[in-house]
Amino acid sequence: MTSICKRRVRRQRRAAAAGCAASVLAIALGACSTQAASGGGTSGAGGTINLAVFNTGSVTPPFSELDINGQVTGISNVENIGLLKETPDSKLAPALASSYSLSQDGKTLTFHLRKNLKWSDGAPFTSRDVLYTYNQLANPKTTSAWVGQFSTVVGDQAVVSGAATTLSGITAPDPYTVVVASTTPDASLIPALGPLYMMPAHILSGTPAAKLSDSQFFASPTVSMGPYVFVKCVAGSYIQYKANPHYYGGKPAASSLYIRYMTSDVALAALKTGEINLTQIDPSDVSTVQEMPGVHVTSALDPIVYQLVVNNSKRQFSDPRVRQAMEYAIDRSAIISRILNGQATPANTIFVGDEIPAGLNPYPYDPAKAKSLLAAAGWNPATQVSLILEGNDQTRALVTDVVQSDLRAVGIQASITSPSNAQLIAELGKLSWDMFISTGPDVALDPNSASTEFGCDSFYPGGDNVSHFCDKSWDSVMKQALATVDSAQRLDLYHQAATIENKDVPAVWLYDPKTIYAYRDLSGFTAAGDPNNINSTMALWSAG
Amino acid sequence: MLAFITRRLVACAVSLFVISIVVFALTRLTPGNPVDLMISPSQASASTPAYLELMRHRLGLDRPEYVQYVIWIGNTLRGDLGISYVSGTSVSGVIATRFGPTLLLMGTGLIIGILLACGFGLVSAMRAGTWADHVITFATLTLVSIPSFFVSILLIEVFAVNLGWLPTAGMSGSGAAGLADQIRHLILPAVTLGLATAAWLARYVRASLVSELSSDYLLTALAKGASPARALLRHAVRNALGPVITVIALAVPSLIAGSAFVETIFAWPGLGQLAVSSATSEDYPVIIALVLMVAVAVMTSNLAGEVAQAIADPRIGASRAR
Repeated sequence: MTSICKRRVRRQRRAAAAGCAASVLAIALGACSTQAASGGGTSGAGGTINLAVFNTGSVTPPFSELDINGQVTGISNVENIGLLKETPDSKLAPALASSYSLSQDGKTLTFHLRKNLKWSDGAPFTSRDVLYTYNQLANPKTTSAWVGQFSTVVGDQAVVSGAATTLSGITAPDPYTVVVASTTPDASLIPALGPLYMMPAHILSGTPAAKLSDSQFFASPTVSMGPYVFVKCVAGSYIQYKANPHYYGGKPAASSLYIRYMTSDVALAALKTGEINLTQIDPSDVSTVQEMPGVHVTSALDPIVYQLVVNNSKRQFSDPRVRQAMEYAIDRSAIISRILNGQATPANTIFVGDEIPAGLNPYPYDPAKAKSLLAAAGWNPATQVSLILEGNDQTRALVTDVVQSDLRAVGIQASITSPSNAQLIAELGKLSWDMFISTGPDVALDPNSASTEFGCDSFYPGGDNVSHFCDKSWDSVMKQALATVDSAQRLDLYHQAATIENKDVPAVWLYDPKTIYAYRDLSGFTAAGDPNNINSTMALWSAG
Repeated sequence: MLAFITRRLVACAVSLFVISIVVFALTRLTPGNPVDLMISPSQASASTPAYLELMRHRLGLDRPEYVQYVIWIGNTLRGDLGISYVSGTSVSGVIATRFGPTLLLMGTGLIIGILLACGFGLVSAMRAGTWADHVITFATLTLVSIPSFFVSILLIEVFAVNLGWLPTAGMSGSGAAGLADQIRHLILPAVTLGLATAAWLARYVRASLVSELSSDYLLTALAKGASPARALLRHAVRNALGPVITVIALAVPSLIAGSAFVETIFAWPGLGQLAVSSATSEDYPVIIALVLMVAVAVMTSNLAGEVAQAIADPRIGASRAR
């Protein structure tokens, strides 16, 4: 997917569809094996759970490059898990590892695995699996999308260049301990490596790295460590799972789980009839769904921020007063109340949660101030700029209309264009674009993800900084935070970074939306701001 | 007849060749390149130029376009339709899994449509000018005017949500999916497609039958003692079938188009749904393969329609044999 439609965790992009289409639980059913494992699909004490998802896509390996719509993490969530897991409120929690620690110099990360864990087929899970997984994910020959996660690990360059096949910096002193050594102090190693999904070494270790993505195992991944195990996939229709009896958190309450693909309208009808237990809904559907008997609505704040990305490399946008003017010009409260039905909060920085310091400029709606700032910056009202509408998300289209109207009201003549993904990527490469609405990276787990978005050394296409914003002082603070192990000191540095960018306005902050779920006949469900994180409580769900 | 079929097959092959060039060229003229689409920009930035070049080489994109076409058409003729950008698996495999459901849905929808159209058309023609004719005319015109997706939503609301008789979507339910379960899931999408087909086909059946019912040969048959039912079914209906068969054959493109909407709404895992998802995700290898498949289906159905028409009406067969 394009860089403007994204949800990123740590240093990499992830599950784009979730942030893009308001249709989430970003799971893919478009193309998959029809192979079936034996023994699945019977109802037990916790019954059968049916989830509805809206995005078609593919079932691909958890390391695949082919995550065009970002479905990979979604589909993997049901059956896969890492040493650490992301909780519904986007925090890290122990999963297959019972604990972890980072050395005082920030260069050694140690994971302590839980003992006596088993894969769903009964094979033991040990540090051998962790080493195998990390070595494969770091190796570009596997077409891994997670190569960048290991950039500071000792020996990474040798693996990337092909001189070595294993990372010398990752070792296993015993079956229950994994030690990761980094070349520089890197507090981001924990969120970078901890949640990566494990792969079964006892099944895949004989497969050459270059052939790994073609392995039949990924077409029918019937061995897993997650709460559920793959049973069957009918492309474009559903994926069937059964409970994993060896799940580290205990066998899931429900005996089987189906992920069903359907359009959002039909999902609401199926929710009403009881054919599905859970789906994500748009803000515009909240009142309708709340009237359905037996259906409950819940929500959680999404750890990503919607922003109007501005091409800072263009002269007309390089003056921060122009970007500040745009912040004042857009009536974000109206967008939130009228389009999002109140299911969002205004954003004033890319950071979320604890990383937001007190005292940020809230940029209240003030067209007069916007006009005065534009005049001071020498803005030419005759300048025509393009406002790109990406994708076919109705909510985003409405927001784009309002933004266009508000900008025009203060003298910024914006015209909406809707290029295809390929055209958009071409425009990004040529820096010929002006503005578009996008989601920022997921910074809840690792605030350092923001540095890939706005860092001076991350300019697109060499990096993720499509806006080509650069502030050396902001970069300096972010780098200090990355090398700081003490969490209180890190938090203080992120507060400083948030303050700088609140003033600089590298992108025009819009809002932080809520992720809304509707469910019925389902107990144990906890809403997660990042829909990919609903799996952390999935084992507790039961139908009926 | 054999010469006619041979001539048509040659024409079809030429048409397919031209279509393949046009479709291939269009996908290559699209801004951007497949590697950009396959690799997210952040990952592309993390990957080395050598790695990106390797990806282009694996896809054959480092060769001139005409060489790419020659390789692609050669592979296509051998049944290798390439690799899906989305799933990373073979396009042939992706399409193979979708073919059965579409065939089932379209076949059932077509049968329902033909049965309804013949019934409505027959009643309408036999009772031409009466209230029954007017009601059927109004109903079919109304159905023609309503888009399939609206009919789909309407049927779901009535039969799934309000009455609770049928499931809303999907090809089967949770747990063990037996034949009865699959039939229950098939009814709404098939009826939606069938209604769309019946709506316009009934008009053709009526017009064709009305024309035949006023023919002299029918009066002759009746005068010679044939019963009205025998005269109608043995003579009028058979002669009226000719143009109707052609129209049914020509209905295949609209059925395919209709199935894209119906399959998407009803979460029916067929080729129509695949076409929509491939278009939205710009999965060009799948799109090209589907375009070629539709072209083959349309040409085949047209040819089949012409042959069937010739068999049903010997006069046409004789003229085509010349």
